[in-house]
Amino acid sequence: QNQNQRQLPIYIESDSATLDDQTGLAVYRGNVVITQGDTVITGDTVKVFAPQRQIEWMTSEGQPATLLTLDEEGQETRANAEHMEYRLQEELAILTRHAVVWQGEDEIRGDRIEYFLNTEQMQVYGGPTGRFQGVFKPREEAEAAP
Amino acid sequence: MKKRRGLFLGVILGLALVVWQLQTQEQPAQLLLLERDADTDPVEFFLTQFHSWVMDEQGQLVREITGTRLEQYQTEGDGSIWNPIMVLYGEEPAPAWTVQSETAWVSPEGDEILMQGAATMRRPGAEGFEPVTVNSSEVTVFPDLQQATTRQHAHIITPTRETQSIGMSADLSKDTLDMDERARTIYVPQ
Repeated sequence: QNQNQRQLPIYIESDSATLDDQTGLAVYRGNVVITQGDTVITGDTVKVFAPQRQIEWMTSEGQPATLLTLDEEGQETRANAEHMEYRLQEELAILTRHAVVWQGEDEIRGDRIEYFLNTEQMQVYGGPTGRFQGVFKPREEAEAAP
Repeated sequence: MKKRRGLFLGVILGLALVVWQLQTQEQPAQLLLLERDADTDPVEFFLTQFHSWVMDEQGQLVREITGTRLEQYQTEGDGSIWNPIMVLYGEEPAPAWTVQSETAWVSPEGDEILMQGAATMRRPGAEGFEPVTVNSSEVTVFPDLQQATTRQHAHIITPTRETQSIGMSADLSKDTLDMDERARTIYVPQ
């Protein structure tokens, strides 16, 4: 996600919301969709923390919560997890509880996946078997695949 | 015929005398006793270009209300205000909220005020407080509780965030806002 995406406004739609200006915490409930540039996060309940009126982090919980983003070449990265934390300054998404990431044909599962949107790097911790699981399709097969 | 006309004039003169007395004795100049149609809720009294200050038990100013006209009605003791502007003072250092609308209905106890028609709520900024503007309509204010609520569309604007929804409840003392339906928020990076 390139540099100026982070300067774009953040749009949040939901069924209902509670905003507390003294703590800086806002809770959005029901069909929550958050959009900032090419990044879209959804969830059932989203908490947005903006102590100095600027969003620092947000969490999204859902069955699952989802994340969709595009890299500079327009390649899509999708992720599902029951709990996501998104730290705006670091552009870091932390996925836990049934975390799965798809990049093109590749699929990565783990107990905890840390995905840096700006560098597209990923840190994967454990998985159902306590080990990291990843399925990477060779490019030819991936391209030949219908 | 002459006798009857005299009687009629006498009644008129007598009535005028009573009204004149009432006017000069108890009520200040702008307070006029107006008899309305008996079928509707008769006005007990009305004020024009009024300004009221309300204090709490400690004598602290808690709210002011101004308006171009206020009517209080006999049957229930409720009231109507035209062009109401209400200022609600919270606890320092929170700045006061100013709420205004086209007209307002005031409950008999004065603890519920329905700001009718287009309504605006404004709070200036201060140390630790963002300036806020709320554009809505049909907003019910509970001044003693420092709460306001509406079922209509509400548009809340601050320098860093803009929120809209259908239905809203605000706790002005705690700075919390509940958006009932179709909440749309835009956070603007600074």
